[in-house]
Amino acid sequence: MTLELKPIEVASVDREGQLILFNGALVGVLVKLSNLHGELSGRWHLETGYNGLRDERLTFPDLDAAKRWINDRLANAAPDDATN
Amino acid sequence: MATGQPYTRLIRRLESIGALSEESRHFISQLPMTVRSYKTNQDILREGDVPTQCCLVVDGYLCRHKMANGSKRQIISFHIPGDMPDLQSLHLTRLDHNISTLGPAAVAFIPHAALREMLPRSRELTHAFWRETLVDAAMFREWVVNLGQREALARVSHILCEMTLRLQAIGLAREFTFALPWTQGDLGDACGISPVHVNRVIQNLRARGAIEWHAKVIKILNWEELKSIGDFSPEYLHLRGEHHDTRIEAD
Repeated sequence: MTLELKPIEVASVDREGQLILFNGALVGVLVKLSNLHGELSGRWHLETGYNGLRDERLTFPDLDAAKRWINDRLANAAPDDATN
Repeated sequence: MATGQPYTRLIRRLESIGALSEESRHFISQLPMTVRSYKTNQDILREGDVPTQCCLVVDGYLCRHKMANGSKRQIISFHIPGDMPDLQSLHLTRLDHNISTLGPAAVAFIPHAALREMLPRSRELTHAFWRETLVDAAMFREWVVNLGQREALARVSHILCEMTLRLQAIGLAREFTFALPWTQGDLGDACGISPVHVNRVIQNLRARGAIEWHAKVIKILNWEELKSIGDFSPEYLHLRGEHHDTRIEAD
């Protein structure tokens, strides 16, 4: 059970991203919000995800905080929760 | 922002979608109305309420909304001065959604009894209110398409186009400029996208020179561009003559 973040460039106004891999499989994408986002600038935004990771309103102050939330969410996800 | 008596808002709205006789305008002017002021994000009515009066927006913005999964708000319509967002409560007893303010607002309340007494006396007003509810349904159809088939940039653009024409029709958008006290979260809740996505869309529209949005005032800089991005065609609003799309101008 390993959680891995893999940096990736994003073709958006926000250019810095991280693929979220769980046991080698893609489960979500985090993007660092640029200075265009006011008080949210610098935070990591969960753009999309699978297996219960989908909550597009979430932002995290740093990647460690994001990892803690992802681990917790994946630990509580039903095994067949792949509908979203 | 409010001018004149509250009923003038309703007359202006009804006249934007159909002609009213002097007699009909007189009937409306005689409706008893109690005006109350509200702060931003205040509930006017909640799902499950059984209203005994209809509300008429006099000043500011209201929205209808429902909660999904107990926590996610979906805004299902925006309402501007002259609108009666709970007109359905005349015939559908229990409210099936919530009605709240977006920014400070003034709302007039008209007893159901007064409307029930007036409508049988005026065939024209009965048709006008019926037409109003049909236009309401037409807007919902358009919103289904907007949420189901358009991307975030087009969804937001479409709603801004809709607001421009509706506000223009009641004289509250001059030279493509109007007050819009919504947060990016409000717009996101109407478009089914996050505030972050809304912000990216607004930045995109600014960069294209389509809009300016500053200090709760929005200015449409390139109407044709915004319409094109939003896949917007105004027929579903069923606005009459001078209120219709390309004839939009300062009044």
